[in-house]
Amino acid sequence: MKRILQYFLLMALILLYACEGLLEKEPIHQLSASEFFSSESDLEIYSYSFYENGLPSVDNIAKGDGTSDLAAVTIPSTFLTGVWSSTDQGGWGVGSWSALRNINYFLEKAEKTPVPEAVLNHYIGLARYWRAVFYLEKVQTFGAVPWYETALHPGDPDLYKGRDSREFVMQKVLEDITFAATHIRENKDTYSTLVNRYTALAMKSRICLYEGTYRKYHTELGLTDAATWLREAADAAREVMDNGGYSLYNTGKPESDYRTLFTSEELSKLPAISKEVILARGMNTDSRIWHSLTWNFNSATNGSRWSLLKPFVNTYLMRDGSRFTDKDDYDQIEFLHEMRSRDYRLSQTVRTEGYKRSTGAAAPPDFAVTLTGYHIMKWSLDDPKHDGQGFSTNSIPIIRYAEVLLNYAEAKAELGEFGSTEWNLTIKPLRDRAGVASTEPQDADSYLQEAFFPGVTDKYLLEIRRERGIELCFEGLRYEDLMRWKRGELLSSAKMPFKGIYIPAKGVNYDLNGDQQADVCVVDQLPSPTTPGVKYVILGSNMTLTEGDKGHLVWGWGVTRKWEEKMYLRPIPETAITLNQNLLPQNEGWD
Amino acid sequence: MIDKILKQSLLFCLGVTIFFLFGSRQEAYSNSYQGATAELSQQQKSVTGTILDSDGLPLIGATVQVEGTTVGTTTDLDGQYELMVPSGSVRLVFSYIGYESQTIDLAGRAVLNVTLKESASELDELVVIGYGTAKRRDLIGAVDHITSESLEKRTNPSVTRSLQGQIPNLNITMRDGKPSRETSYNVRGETSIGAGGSALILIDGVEGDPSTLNPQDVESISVLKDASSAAVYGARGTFGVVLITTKRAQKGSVKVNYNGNYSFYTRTVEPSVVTNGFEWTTSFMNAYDGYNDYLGTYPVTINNIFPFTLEWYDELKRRNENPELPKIRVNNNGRYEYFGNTDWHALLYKDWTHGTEHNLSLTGGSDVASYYLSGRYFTQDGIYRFGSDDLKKYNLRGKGRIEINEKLSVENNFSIDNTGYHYPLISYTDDLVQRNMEHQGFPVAMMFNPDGSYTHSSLYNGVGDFHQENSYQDDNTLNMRNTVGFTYTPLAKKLIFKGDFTYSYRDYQRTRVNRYHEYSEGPGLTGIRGQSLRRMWNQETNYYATNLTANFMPDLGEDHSLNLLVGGNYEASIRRNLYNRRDNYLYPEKPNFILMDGENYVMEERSNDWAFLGLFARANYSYLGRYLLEVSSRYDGSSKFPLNEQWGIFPSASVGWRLSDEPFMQPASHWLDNLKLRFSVGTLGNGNVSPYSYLELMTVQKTSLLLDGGFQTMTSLPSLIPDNLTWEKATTYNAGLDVDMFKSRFNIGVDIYRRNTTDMYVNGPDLPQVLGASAPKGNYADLKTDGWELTIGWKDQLSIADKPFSYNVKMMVWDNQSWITKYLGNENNLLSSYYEGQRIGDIWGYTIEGLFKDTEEIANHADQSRLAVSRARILLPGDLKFKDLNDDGEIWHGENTLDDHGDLSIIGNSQQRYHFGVNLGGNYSGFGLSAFFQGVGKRDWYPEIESGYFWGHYNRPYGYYPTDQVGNMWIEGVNEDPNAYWPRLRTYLSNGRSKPMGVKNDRFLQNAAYVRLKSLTLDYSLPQELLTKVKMSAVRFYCTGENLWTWTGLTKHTTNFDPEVIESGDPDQATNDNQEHGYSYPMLKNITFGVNITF
Repeated sequence: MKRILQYFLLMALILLYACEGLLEKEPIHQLSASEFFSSESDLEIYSYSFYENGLPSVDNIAKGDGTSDLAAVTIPSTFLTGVWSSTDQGGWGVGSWSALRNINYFLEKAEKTPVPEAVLNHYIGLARYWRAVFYLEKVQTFGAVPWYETALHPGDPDLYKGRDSREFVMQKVLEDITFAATHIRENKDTYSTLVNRYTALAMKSRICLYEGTYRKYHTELGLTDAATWLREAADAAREVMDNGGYSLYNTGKPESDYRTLFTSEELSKLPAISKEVILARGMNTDSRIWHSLTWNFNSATNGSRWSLLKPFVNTYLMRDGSRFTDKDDYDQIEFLHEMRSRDYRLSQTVRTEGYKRSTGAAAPPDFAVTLTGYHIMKWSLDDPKHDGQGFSTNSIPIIRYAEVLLNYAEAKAELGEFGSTEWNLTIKPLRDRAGVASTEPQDADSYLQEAFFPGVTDKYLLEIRRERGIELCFEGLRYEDLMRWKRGELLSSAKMPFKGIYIPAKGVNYDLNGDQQADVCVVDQLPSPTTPGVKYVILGSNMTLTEGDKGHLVWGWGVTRKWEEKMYLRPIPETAITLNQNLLPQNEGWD
Repeated sequence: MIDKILKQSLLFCLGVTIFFLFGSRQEAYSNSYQGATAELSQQQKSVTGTILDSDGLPLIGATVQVEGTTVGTTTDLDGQYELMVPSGSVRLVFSYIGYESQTIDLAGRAVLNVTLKESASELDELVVIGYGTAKRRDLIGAVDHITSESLEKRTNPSVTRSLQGQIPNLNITMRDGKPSRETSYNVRGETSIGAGGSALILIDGVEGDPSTLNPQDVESISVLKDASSAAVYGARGTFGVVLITTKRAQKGSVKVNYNGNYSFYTRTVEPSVVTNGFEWTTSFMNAYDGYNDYLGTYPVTINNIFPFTLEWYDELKRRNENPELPKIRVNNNGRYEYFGNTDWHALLYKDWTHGTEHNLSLTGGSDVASYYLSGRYFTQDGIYRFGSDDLKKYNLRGKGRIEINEKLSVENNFSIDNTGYHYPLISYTDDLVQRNMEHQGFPVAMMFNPDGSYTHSSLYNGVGDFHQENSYQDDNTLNMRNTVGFTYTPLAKKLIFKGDFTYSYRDYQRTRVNRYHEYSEGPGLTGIRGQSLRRMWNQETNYYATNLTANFMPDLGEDHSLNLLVGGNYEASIRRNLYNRRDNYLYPEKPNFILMDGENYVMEERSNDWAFLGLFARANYSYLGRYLLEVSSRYDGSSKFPLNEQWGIFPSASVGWRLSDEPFMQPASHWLDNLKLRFSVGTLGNGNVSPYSYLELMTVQKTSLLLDGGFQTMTSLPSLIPDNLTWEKATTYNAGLDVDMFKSRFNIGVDIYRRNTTDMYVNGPDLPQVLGASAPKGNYADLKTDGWELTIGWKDQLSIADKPFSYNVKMMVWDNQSWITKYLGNENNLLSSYYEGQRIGDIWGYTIEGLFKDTEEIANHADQSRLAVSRARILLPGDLKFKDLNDDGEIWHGENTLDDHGDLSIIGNSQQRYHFGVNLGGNYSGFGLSAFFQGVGKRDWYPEIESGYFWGHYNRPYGYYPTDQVGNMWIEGVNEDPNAYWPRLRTYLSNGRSKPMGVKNDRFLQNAAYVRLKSLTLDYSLPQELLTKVKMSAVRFYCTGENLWTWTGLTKHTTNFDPEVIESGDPDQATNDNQEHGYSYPMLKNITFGVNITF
């Protein structure tokens, strides 16, 4: 028995000894953080996570202008129509701040990586580029926000700090983007999907123009250094113009070059337009990376039926360079004629005469889709199969050289340094591409002043804003443009009803694309019998005509869009304040 | 491939066995038949006598029966009997409850007096406990057990379902009726709000999964509930242990058992929703109007893809009045318009489905070697009409035991099982079809277009996808397990060594295949939905376990008894999770990774490995069988903790006092069999955290973006890890009382307990969001659980028409409640998180006073605008009137903290309280009837915001319209009844956590208590006299119904829910933040016909 007990004890000891080591288990599929950051390759693979978190979505780019003065939508944002408060406000979740943490963690750790300084600075530049982008969005939304440049720890008192002033944060943003624009490598990737030095410069021009104009027009901030920012914007843009090697995509086909930028399918087509596209979101069938934009913009149901508004469409010039709005009857022209001889970008932004799908079928504006008659097709592929499926692969430009030109022009104009030289560098090439005779304005356009920018008297600045609206239509920049110009009012029903095409008479069939086929008829009630092929717009509480039995179509929806001064900034979300009272005081008007 | 071979071999083996068994028996039947008939025609004569107990007192109601017949009688008040028996060779069987039966050859006597000896009572029954067995008499831990008999009354393909409600405080909640559904076992309520934890389930001593078991193989099930009884399992048994023991090999000639049955299944609850298109659409518009403040605007679509215009609505009305008109037309735009009255549920579900089970086992052997072999085939067809979700299951078990010599025996226990489950999927999403039907399954929408193509709605809601049967999921699980063990007894009854080693392999594979499906929105207008996607998850687990114990029982004389146990236990699990996905089938009929060409494929291999090591010791001492003491301890190590925190020591102790054996209780001894008091206390560790949680790790994956021409390898920051991480601890105090009376006719068992779970591993304090990460978890919280359980049983035997009628009644009630006693993560005591002092399950909510009667009442009432009734938040008569509990003129939750909770108060509790089970059984003349009721005495349920079967149009304008709501809603201009249960019809009232019905309130709090006839079994056993003729030892025919009858408090306001299926949707599918109450696989009821034959 003794022997057996000994044997048992021995067994137990062996077991214990053998298993001690076995109580250590490490995963086979993850890396230990302590051994990471040891080579350039580590820096590179980490840097891709910045894109994952920071690259704007397809929807933000292509549908973002749905909340702006350019377009009508079926149901406008509750921010404009509803009762909004700090409980409704998002944008402060852990998920949103984790993008910053990811960058700051990198910045802390990357320093120790044994690589040459230039290599290190390239990656640090990338991280700071994305931090600048991150904070720009936070400032645009909330104004003053707390600035963090380290990855916080749970016990960190800074978790509870108050907000840093807008000036402080934007100064930091400027430092970041300047570092990025200095140290990121210059070389471009074939597909314009990675950030290079000129991407950073282009972004710098965007940021600085934003901040410069914001400070200039938001006089309530009491900031007097708008010019500094505008100078930075102009310089950054100029650097891209002088040394970036970018140019407008212009093959001498004004009727199609512009739209090629937005409808180039597959990754393989990106190199062709990459001389203009500075940063893009690539799409590819083989990779199953695609979107639903064609479906969204051509469906009565799977989208918001985004439709351009008449006042904005009015700003497109005639191809001879003259203003459409200088015509006496510009507001009462039947759609077909209204669209003729206009800036070629108009027929590449909305459906007009001659627009055909890839099947060869004529495609007039479809009133099952459009609310105003101005049926947006800028992002739509011509193959109608995409109308019912989400497999569109046209890549999405995020920053274009055209914007850099416009940033430069606007910054210079705001600085009062804009003249023919600048005109010929910026607006002229854009109009050339669009087949519009480039005539410098002789006077301030009273239509633009009246309908959009009453306070602006500079004839160049008005032209630049016109150009910006047209060139960058539905590329997701318009809302912030209105904010920095302090023209939020243009989002209200009072200033900007959802006004559509002119209908000379009720109950009459109209041909919208000149193919002698009736396309639309505005009626009170569905007639019997109906005419095949005609879409009937039935008047009622949702849709009205401005003069009762004729006039402009107006999409009503019974809800009023309001604008108030406080809405230039969003309220700090209540969930944030609950956890940190030091974020108070709340943004003005949102208490 | 392997599965297929496996299935075929299994079937083959079963077939061959059946063939031989029946083949070889054939002869025996024909030989024995003649002799049997001769006996019947004999003459009869009378026998009388008296039956006494060992004290010489008459036994009243004792049974006398002619062996092998149904001829019998019972004794009268004087213990006397008289019986007519056939002349010739007759043997009589004398039996009485609590006494040993005697069989005596009559040998021609006319008077036969008998004295029956008291049987070794049920107190001597052996109960399986940790690393051994114990007599029920000696148990001092909280241990409950049932034997196969209780399970056999419930014909059920799953051991788990059969166990539900059978053992007090073994809480089994089946969340739905999916044939593949398994659930974890909870013992005694809330375990840990941190690491969680369920009972440890051991099959023949080694951790196992009850879903792999053939229920027919189960011999007994023990549940160790308190720390003391589970102590030897240490950290693995913190929250109870369930010991499942399979049938053992029985020596002797071959005994063959066949059990076969056929079942019919149907849904317990069929959601009843309005299927008339016009009625539904009218309600849709009312709800929509209500939300939009009656502005007169109309929607442009019903949800997002079904166009809506007033003209269409007028046409719908016209067609509704004239049902002859076609339900589909092509409109001016060349698109189909639908005017359907579609009952999507009827399209989705079968009325009845069925299943079958065949089970064959044989056992036998010599003194040296014995064996037990069993095989089972089980199939249950799905309830979905299309792409049916059929389940198939195969089990095989082989056990053998060889006694090498008197001291050493070796055992082997091998099992293999395979389950295949096919399940239809929606082509484009993993969402539940029940939820998608709410969103897109409007009655006006239809399944097919006139040209036979699918409508967009049918593919969007999923029923069309199901119909195409080519988007699906296949689950396949293979389990193999072998345990080899030895028992070495160097000194008989004094020293026993036992050891075993188990290897088990589990291969779980899930394949999801999604395909594109085409629909049409008008002639020539086609669209496409779906994905060309294949995903495969593969989980391979290699598990090793070994146990080694020594049992020492020194001889300390008559009065003392000591049993020492020491042992060690090591377990390691090596798991690999493989996952791959790829797009685009090149050959759609062959969905395989290599036959696809998508570039965005994913192939992953992850590990999930852990190991446990424990050393334990236990000492049981008893003095005079009256005073019982048990002390145990275990030293536990786990790989899941950092090196310096891996080990923990967890002790426990218990004492027992058998009062009934005390001399002063002697007077009661003739009626009191047992009276025992027990008390135990012990602490166990809980290491149920996921492996690697203490390591700072970086995950590498591919980008989801195309960067520089393709997907790039990417990593990002590691998550925050806890500073320290160690064992959670659970300390249990248990006090119990066992009473057995009247020769074990009557039993009572009572236990009360408290379990303190401390150092729970929970989320850290809520930190400002700017941290950019969720706070690391830590051992930050404590929990207290109090509970009790009560079992009362009675069984007896009566004589009816001179035949014995035996019956039994067993009632069980149990309850538990838990409180958070410490919680560091919530300094402000926010009600949205756990807070100190919180009772688990408490529901904070508003109080509703009724419906507003007029505008004046609204004007004079507190401000309710925070709870938006509509876009413009304009209250009208018929809207809900919230009570301003704190009289501050505003309806709101204040800071939503314990100190400032505004108008909130605790309105109920969602925990299941007062569980109960009632077993009733009776046997008479070969017939048996048994019933089992199970239920929950109290439970409050507030339907989650996405519970469309409850909220109907109050959730979404385009959602279901439950028939329960029809006529009981306040509708502008239609039904302005101030007493209606449902307020003014406006949509989105429940769709959001700050909406009037989305916030919890007492008006819509439902009573989810229920009682359910879980099973009802009628069986008939052929009489022995017939059996002997056919040389069978038992034949039993049975008919079992499960879930046949239910009462629930829910039906007061809704009939669309089964009280057991009010959890969130099916966890196998994509879920939406636990908001989908009721959208799950339906609970089933069934009727089973079967036969059980033993040769």
